[in-house]
Amino acid sequence: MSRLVDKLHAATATGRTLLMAYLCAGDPSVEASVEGLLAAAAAGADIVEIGWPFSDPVADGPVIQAASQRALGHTGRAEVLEVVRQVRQASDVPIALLGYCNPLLNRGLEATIGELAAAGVDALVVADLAFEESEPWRAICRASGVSLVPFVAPTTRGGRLEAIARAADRFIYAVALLGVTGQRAEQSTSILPVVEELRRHGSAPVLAGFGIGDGEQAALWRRRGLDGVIVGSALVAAMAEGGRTAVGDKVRSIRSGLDNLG
Amino acid sequence: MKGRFGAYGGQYVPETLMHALGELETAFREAQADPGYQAELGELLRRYVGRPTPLSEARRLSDRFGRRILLKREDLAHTGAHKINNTLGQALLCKRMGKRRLIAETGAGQHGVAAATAAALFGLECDVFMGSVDVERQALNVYRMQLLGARVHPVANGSGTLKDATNAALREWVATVEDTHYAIGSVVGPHPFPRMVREFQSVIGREVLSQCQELLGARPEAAIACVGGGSNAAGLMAPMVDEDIRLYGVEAAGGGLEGLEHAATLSRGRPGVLHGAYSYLLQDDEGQVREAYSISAGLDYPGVGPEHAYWRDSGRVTYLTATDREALEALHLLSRLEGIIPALESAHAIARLDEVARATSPGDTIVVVVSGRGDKDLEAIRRQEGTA
Repeated sequence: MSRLVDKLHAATATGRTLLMAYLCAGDPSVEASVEGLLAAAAAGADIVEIGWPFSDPVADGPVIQAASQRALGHTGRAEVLEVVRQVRQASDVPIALLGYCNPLLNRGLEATIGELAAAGVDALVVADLAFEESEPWRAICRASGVSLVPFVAPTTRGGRLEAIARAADRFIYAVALLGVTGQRAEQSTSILPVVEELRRHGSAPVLAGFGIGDGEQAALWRRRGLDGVIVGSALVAAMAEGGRTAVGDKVRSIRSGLDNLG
Repeated sequence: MKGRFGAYGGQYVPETLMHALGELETAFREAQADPGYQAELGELLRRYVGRPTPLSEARRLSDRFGRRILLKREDLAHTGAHKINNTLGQALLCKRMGKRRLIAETGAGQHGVAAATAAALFGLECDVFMGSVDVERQALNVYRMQLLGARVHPVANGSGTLKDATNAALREWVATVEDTHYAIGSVVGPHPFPRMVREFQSVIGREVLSQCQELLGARPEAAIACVGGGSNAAGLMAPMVDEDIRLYGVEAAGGGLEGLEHAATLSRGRPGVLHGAYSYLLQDDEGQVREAYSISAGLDYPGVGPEHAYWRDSGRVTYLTATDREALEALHLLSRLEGIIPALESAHAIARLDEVARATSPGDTIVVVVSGRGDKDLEAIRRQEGTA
């Protein structure tokens, strides 16, 4: 996890806005997803987020649902671990693993998180794990040196928000809209009061995700005071259209949106 | 932990929904303690749904199995199934929470019809998500929902059945949670749904106990219901679990348990997380959820309510299975012997009367829930049998 800690510290020190880039493992193949993730890192992603495909991704919109479906037939636990390992062998980029509860629980949570950590995962993001259910997960992650990334959403309120802020050990994933993943033309402001309140309870960096898909939108979130953005569906779409080259181009354009702000 | 039945249940949902689940839990708890709410719901169940539904003596069926068999006639409830007990309760809560719109998933269409009915009654907007395969095999119910003013959204993902409809409804809820209530149709989903839906359906079991008291002066010896998500079964059983009554749930064995063409979650699944709850689940070695199969659209679901998982493990309830063929035979049997055409779902319970009869003694009484009427299935059955 020190890779992640160092990256977050460096960003704070230099005022760099973080970019976490998502691709689904095995979409369209193990090799291609590794190349895409490495291209994203080389083009300026600070963290890569590797999706573990799931049959019922209820937090995801059509683009990531389709990626999951493309990957599922040939991407199980072994292949997900293989993607992580290959990215780790080729790069020091911090790796977050995005999954849903069931495949992670399938062969025992402790064993699975241990294997993910050994393969090179620094942080775990679980789309359908409510904070109220997360304590056993947090304990196992802590023991493996993996950060369990908590979510806040526009609907997160009061005491829960404070508890989530306190539990965050590395960074917080702020869901930037009401809805599922996928780029939107409009960028909702509904998460901003939640982010403002988070700042009163802790200092963990807050990254906004859901709906953000280009440099202009990413720059907007920087101006709104977020510490970083998470881009998924737009990169998955780039991958489907033009493979690693398109992913690299897309990440570069988002990176320049984040960096070229007066 | 909160909202658990032993190890099962919980709240495995995206963060966006947690506030709404808390709000729902509070509204439900307050409503339970509010005599005004209880009186309003009770009045609706009497004067709108037609409760209590009869407990019919099934004389010819009794002769056939050598046990006294009583049928709990949820098929006679308004809209033709037990689902209305739940949707009226949830629609009242929806209004109480100040939300203007109901969404629902549906398999056979019975819950969708019941949700559309409750929405019409209370002047709520209604959107129903239904797998595209089910839209096809339950075309009549689609039209009923539309007549009632609901919009029906076919879901083509996955197998185009109840699991996919539930995914779509959850995604819609995440996007509209501030003014929309998701009326889940069974004892599944995140806390508080399994407990809440079971409470709304418990009117079935309470009525059975008091009707048996009236008719027999005693408890029945056994009770049996079909299990998809398990709401009519949970409603029957919850008031009986502390009584000396043998309880049986019947899952859909589809084309047979040896293959993958079934929906026998408790019999062939293992624990996992789907749609917000930790429960039994049909899944592959990788923890990917399998597509269920049953001739009955209402049982065609790879999950099951967490309280059933708890009852299964504790041994309090025995879970059996019936194949498509057995359910069809049972549908014919009940039609010919008693003049009652049951829903294909309910026919699964009828189909295992043989085994329950063997487990009981002559002179014992068995209660079977006829959870819905068969009209909605007739076209599909006619087609199936015409080509068989």
